[in-house]
Amino acid sequence: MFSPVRSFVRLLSASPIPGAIPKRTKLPPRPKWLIIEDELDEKFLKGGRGPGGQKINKTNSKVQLTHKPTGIVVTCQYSRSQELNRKKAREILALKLEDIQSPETSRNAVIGERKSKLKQSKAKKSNRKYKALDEVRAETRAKESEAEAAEVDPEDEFNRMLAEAALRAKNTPES
Amino acid sequence: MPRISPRLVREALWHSRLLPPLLRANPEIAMAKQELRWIKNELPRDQWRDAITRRSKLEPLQYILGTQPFGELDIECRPGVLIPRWETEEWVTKLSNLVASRCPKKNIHIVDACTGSGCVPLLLNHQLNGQSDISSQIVGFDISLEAFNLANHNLARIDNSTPNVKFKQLNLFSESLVQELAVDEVDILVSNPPYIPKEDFYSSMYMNGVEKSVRLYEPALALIGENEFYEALLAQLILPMKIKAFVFELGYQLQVDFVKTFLEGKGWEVGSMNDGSGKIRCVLGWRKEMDFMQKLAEEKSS
Ligand SMILES: C[S@@+](CC[C@H](N)C(=O)[O-])C[C@H]1O[C@@H](n2cnc3c(N)ncnc32)[C@H](O)[C@@H]1O
Repeated sequence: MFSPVRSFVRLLSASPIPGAIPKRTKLPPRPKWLIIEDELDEKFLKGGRGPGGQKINKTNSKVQLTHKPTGIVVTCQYSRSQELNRKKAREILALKLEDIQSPETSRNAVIGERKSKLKQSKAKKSNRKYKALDEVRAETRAKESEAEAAEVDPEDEFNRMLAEAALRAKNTPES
Repeated sequence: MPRISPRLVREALWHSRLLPPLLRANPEIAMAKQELRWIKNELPRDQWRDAITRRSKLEPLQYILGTQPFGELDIECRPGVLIPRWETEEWVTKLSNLVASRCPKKNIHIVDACTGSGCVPLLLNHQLNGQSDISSQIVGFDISLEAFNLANHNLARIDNSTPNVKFKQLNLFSESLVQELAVDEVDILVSNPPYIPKEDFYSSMYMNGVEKSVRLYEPALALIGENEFYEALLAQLILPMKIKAFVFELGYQLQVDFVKTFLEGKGWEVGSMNDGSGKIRCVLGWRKEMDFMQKLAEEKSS
């Protein structure tokens, strides 16, 4: 059937080992079930200035969601598409709500944990590397291209936004 | 062009060396950053510089990126054809929701005059067919060959399996318009005709005129017009074809009043509706059998 050694290894890697970096693919799912449409007040924020209509061709796709039971307000103008912003605003709100309900195990918390652990392990590795000058150069170059990639990758942008949203949710207890 | 302060340029540079040129089109840093992000997300890296240069000359971002989101659709945009506006997206969405939930007739025929990129028929079709028990037949027409070609291109891109949307190249002022249109029955006529008077077209945005990017890059044929288009919509289509309801986009209360006066004593209810930023944006009318339409007009006063 299956080797006992393998299943033991699998068991290990599946259970959260303290100190291990949570895998990207093993993050808690996006908590969509926390969104109840009746509890939301949705507004499309259209700038009041200027004549509008055919006279202006600027994109205007900002969405604001208020979660009536908690008073949490989320805005999103990540995309040029108002429809996409409506979806993303709901995702962000769901993450905030989950953070409040289960601050230890929420997706945001695990993402945060993963980031800081990744950073630590990188720092360790680079300490070793500093011994060889060549390697330092390689690292800088890699870092540079990584930073540039981060600028382009919409997924990364979005994750950064979520992290910020999480921070704000923690720092400012909403009324 | 308003002068850009060195302080603003320095602030922009601090964010990215690509940002300062975008200040010409976006006097606010936040908006410039937004556009830079959209350029980076949507174009390959080797096109960023060119895109930013074009935008710094006030070319519309939609012509540079090639599309404009419109509801759940992505409408392709090309120079020579008007870019769909959020105000249009807004009333089309409201109209389709209302028709889907309230229209007593289940097989509904719609005509869109002055269809441009085809955005209005394509979104109506997308919203109506499938999500409700309504089925719709929509014909859009435009005088411009460039618009006609782009509308057909958008139709093919979005859903070429649908026989429910058709485009034609026709002149709203043609004497034989009804024959050329060749549809037996129309329930609702919609239109976003050119509605900017010449004086306003040539004045600055701050004088109730037009944004420079619009004047420099979008076709005047799509923009300049006064009451003649509303008059033609009513006299050439609504009355002879016995159409039962209409929604026309506009930019001035005078245009609402014109339509109201025109239909006085002809058995029509006429109302108007504001857009999401509180500006007068549509005139709508209905005959008794389509009085569910008044829900749209009521939104204005709320
Ligand atoms: C303001 S644009 C609207 C385009 C599209 N419906 C939208 O909302 O994005 C007006 C359109 O009217 C068309 N047009 C101008 N004169 C016309 C005429 N005499 N007959 C038919 N269409 C005309 C223009 O080519 C242009 O595409």
